[in-house]
Amino acid sequence: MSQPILVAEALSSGYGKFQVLFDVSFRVYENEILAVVGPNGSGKSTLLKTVFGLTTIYSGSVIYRGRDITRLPPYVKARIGVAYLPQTDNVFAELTVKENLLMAAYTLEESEARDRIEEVLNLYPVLKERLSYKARSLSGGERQMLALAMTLVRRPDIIMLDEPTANLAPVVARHLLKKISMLRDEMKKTIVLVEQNARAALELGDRALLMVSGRVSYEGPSESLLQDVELGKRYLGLR
Amino acid sequence: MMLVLPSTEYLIYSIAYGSSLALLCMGLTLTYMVTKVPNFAHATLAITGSAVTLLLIDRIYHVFYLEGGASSLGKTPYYTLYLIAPISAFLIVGLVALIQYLLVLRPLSSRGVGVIGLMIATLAFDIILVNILTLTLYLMPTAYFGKLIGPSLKGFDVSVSALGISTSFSRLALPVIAVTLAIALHLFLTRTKFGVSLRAAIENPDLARVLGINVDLAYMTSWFIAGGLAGASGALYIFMVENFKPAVASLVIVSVFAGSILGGLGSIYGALLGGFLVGVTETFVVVLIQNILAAYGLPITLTHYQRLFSLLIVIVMLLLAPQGLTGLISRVGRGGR
Repeated sequence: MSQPILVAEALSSGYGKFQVLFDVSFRVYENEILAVVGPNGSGKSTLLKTVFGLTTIYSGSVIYRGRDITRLPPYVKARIGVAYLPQTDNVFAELTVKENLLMAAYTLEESEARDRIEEVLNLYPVLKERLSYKARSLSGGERQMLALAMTLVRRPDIIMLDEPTANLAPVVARHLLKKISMLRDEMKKTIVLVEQNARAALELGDRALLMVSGRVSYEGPSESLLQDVELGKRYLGLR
Repeated sequence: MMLVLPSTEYLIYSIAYGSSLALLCMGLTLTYMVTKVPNFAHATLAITGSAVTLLLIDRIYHVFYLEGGASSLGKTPYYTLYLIAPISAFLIVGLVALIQYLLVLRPLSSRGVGVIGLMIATLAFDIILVNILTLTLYLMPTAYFGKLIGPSLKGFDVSVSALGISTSFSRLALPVIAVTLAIALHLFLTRTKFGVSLRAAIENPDLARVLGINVDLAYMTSWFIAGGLAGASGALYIFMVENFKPAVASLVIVSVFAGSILGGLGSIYGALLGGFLVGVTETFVVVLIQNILAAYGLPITLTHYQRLFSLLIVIVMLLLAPQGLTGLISRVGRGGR
């Protein structure tokens, strides 16, 4: 197995005084999909937010490529290659598709931004046809596509996705998950995927992290968790 | 029974007043969108613009007319004032608004103070600012102030006559400057990278931060622009009033809120329209209704109650279309859904 790109050690965090995560440790390896699964309220989304610096961290550390990034502000993390895609409000609804992409490339030089936007538009041609549309007029799937495109504009090494298929029709969700696996297979990205649909996430993922009540209950190959009848039944509703 | 229509000169005044309110409403709405708090000091920011103009003209009058500079300049400074005054007021009042944000709203907001607390804080800032302005104007130890009873710049305004209509230059300049500033703001917000980032930061600050946008800078810029618009508005409005008193802000703020609520409080373009309509209603429409009532034998002086009409607009809008004109227009655009 390759070196871990991101290591979380004994993370405890929450919102103000409300603690959600308790001593959470995990590793993310280069060019893998780590599927984070667990029941509602188990702290999956908080885990991603904590790594990205959007919660109150009480203790523990986050090491990215050997560098301690625990206390770095989110925009600095974004600049050094860590991307986080929130579950909702992940695009600017009142801005056009073009303006959204421009904002995603905000920190880049103009010519570089132009090239990268062109690059992601080639990946998601549907957005090319909607450049002058306001994001709020896009369908759910198109919006998630735009959000993903905005993430890719910054060419991150590791992308943390928080329930990207939530509220999408099954066929659109399947299409989106396929696009996510393409990010790993073709673009060699590392993905941390929080997903409510545990089976889909485990089938897609290389390794899995099972969260229960703010703690890690399992970390290992996705396949093993998928076949663990006891854990699957108790926490993931799998039969 | 004879209906007398308001004069064309009054219509021009009405449009100028409406333009002045439109600028104020745009600024108020911009700060509301950023901080989600109605700024009770916004009208006083405009009055600060008036005071800046007053002091500026006083200095020019003092230097060029009382100390001999006038011989070389003639009457030229009067005209240039229409450019110098709003630009100076824009910059200075923009800074005052920025100070209000940095010293009052941002620290309180970061300490978790709620909307009510922040609203009261803007009220407190308003009282402090009005008193500073009153004191400054009272203490102004200059020749011009001493020469006139109650500061007014009406005497500095220039008459313009065309097509049989006579009006003052300030009344023509206000709508032109309001439209120019509105277009400039629109271009800034839609055609520049920083302007777009400002809209992004207002809409979704968390996402903006994630993308590396400096949200704090965007907020500060919004407050500066809002203050600047108020200052420019006040700078020109003072040419049209007599016996200028900073305390008049407490009346003007009613009209500003009315215009902003009519516009929808979520769109600066809606605010532009709302402010203009409230301004025209408070002046032209009120006089028109007054004349109609007089024609029917009911001579009531409605102009004393002009702000009652603003409040009526607020009540009707909140009852029938709480989203304001912007919401109404987009609902019509969606076919009533």
